[in-house]
Amino acid sequence: MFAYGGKVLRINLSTGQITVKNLDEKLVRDYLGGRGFAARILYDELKPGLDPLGPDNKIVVASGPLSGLFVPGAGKITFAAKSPATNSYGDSNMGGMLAAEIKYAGYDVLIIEGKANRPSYIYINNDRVEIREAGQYWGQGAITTEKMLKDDLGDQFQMAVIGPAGENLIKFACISHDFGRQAGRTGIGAVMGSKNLKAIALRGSKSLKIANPKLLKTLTGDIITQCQKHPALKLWLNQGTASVTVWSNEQGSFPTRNFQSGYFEGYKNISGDVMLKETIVTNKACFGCPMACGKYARTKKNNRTYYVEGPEYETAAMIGGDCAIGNITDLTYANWLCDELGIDTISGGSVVAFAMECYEKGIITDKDTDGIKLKFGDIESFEKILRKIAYREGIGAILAEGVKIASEKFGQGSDKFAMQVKGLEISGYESRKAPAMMLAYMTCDIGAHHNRAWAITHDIAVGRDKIEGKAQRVIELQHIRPVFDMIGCCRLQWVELDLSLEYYPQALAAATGLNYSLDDLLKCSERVWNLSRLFLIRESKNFGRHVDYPPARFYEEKVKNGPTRDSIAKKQDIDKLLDEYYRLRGWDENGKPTPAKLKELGLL
Amino acid sequence: MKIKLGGYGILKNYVGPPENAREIELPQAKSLKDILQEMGIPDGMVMLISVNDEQKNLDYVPQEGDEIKLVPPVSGG
Repeated sequence: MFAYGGKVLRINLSTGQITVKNLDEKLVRDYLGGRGFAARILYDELKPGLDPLGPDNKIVVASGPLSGLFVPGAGKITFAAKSPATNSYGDSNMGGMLAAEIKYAGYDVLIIEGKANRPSYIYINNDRVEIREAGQYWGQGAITTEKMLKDDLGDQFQMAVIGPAGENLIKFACISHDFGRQAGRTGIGAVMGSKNLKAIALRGSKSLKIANPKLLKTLTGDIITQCQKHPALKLWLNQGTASVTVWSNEQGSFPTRNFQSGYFEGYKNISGDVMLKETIVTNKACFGCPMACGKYARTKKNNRTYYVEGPEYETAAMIGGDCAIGNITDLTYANWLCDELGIDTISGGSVVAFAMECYEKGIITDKDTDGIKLKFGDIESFEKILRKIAYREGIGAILAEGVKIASEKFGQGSDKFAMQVKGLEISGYESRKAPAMMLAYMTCDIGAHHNRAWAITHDIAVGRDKIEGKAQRVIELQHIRPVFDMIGCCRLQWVELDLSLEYYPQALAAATGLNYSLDDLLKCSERVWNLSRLFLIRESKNFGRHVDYPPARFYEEKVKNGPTRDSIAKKQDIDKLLDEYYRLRGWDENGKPTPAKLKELGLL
Repeated sequence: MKIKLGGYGILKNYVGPPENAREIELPQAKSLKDILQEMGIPDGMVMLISVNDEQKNLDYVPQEGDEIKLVPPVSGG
């Protein structure tokens, strides 16, 4: 099998059993890799109804066929499990060096089962695989742990680690790697913590066989040329994703004060330009990437210097705007705090913003917060509450469950402004005047995440109030973008540097010898989308179209200020969007895939 | 005065790709903002403007022979 490592490594932390099996060719044919492998394996192997934080849950770490090859952007890996945030299929995609390393160790997939009886880490050095004691790392921050492991094992090892948030089962705990890359969403870090698994340390030094190396080299040369001549490359090299902060505010789509507004008055103080002047030390690229969108930054706080990768746009939106942390020093420090504690900055920002609004409205008081006076824009109270969350202290134990469950506990109508769908906090785009983006959040298979269908430019292009045709575009994007998560490649070269999608089936064929058209790849992606929907249906006690509804704030409250001031989504439009979306997907009126659709996709 | 206008991503639909840029005749000098507005390109669709490989903003008034490339917003991660 060309380009694949060809092996599945299975580690049972309860029994200590370690097995290696050949990668199944049918799995390759129908699911390609990455997220495709993860969804199929978890759907087949997980018993319905299991506790996501119990020993029966499994973590799948899956690279793609292009991961680790010399195709620009081929440094992506998927972490997946039953999510503690959504109780359904959850995955998160991470850049860095790990995807390449796992392939060089000879594996495409790592399946982690059971629960270790004490803090442990998995050591993989090619064929040598061990479960090792991790007592010395347990309790340490994620950045600190990675440094300790590098000191102990050597720089050539690549790590995936959790911080205290993962150890303490915070439902939005992330997995960290390469001092700033995270598998942030859906709480897979908490699943690692539930297994007493502090880290995975990987070293690979094998080579991969490529079907047509000459052709792949030519294609790679073309891709690099295409990327280099794009005028936006300089912007990416200078500012990375932070370059979108100004634009997002100008469009009124920057979540502010827990999505009360789409415009943050302090946005110019946290923009990419300010980062460039004040905090960025150097660029940081994932494996083989010419874009180097990671911005390694330095800030000083309380007479100490902190280094962190970021803030990315999403962090600027969800901590900068949503918690109103309006200066770059505080924002960079908040980013470092989240990274060290092992908290997803998107959900973490949303949860703190929710708590700040609850405090402002008197739903929670000093008595609940142990005297912390939660206030939008206040970094001190942000830090105090974040630490309480990471260690599940006092009210932190409730907030650690995410805004959905916290709002159920707090009551008093707080569910209306708990900004989540399916249990996952909404990421960085205010969407009351962006129906396609709102639908993308509503229907995203892992909960409200932007990366499956970043549709806001479509809203702007065809009309922000228009409803017709939006579902079609969301579905197209939901099929295109996850293809990248399946082949193990970053989507940014396509979406930001306008690289033709046609390069990817060509690169895949040159690497693997597998001849897929772009339509074939999109069909695989649709198969995975429907499979993750079946997972959700299987896990839902009361499944129905209500699971795809946005929070009431979107259709009961107007945007407070900025360019989208007074915008509000209409409930009949939400239903219209869903009706159209279900119909085009071949799902019934309650959002269940029809037998005909499942048959068409080979799922029945 | 003639200029060439090309776009990336979704902007290709309005002005064609840079390698097949649209040639536009301007009877009088006007800002890029006005030109894009007259072409029906919605506000917010252009995030970066490259004129002869130099970054400019919407207030720029094109000169004879300018080769202008329009880039849509980035996706923010």
